[in-house]
Amino acid sequence: MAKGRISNTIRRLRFDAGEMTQKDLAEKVGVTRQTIVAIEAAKYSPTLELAFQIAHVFGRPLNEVFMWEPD
Amino acid sequence: MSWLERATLVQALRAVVIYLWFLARQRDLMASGALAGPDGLTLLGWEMLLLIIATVVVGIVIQIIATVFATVVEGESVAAIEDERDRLIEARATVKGFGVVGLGFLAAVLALWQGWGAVWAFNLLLAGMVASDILVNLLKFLRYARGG
Repeated sequence: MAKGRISNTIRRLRFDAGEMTQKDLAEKVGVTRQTIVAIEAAKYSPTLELAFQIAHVFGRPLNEVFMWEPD
Repeated sequence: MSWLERATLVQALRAVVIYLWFLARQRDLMASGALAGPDGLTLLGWEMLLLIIATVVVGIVIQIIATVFATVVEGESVAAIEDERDRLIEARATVKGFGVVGLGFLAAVLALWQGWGAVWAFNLLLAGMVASDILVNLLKFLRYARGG
């Protein structure tokens, strides 16, 4: 499998959504704040289901929230 | 790092402290000759049962305290206390823990083959399980510290 890195625009999307806090986002998608912190920092890649849920919160398609970049 | 994540380090310390207490008792029992003969195995069984009870009870107490801190101090909702990242971290650590349990079992079998006796074999088996418990919690703590 090709190696790569998943990046995301969650930080900017939270800012655009009226400075939504990490805790608010965590509560909306049913995970801990620490998980949102880890996803934002690209230290944890969420499951497809959680990725869709996060995109849904911001009303954006998945590929505008998460991007895969090959190494 | 959340209280629940920090609690994994406390859980590792719990395993170390309780096992050291168990080892101290074992040393005294061995020195007194209480573990020799068929009655020795009965006593060892009781000692191991005590160790398991102490491990489980203290583990539950630590988890309850960490959960209270997570909900009261951090304001986490109880529903979101364990999520997919926690389960992944737990699963990855547990797989490595199984390997250590396997090593303990192998050591116990080798001990029996070498004629060390059942008391040593059971102790090696138990040591593998305790080492696995410590390793799993330390790995979880390290993964939490790294973020995932």
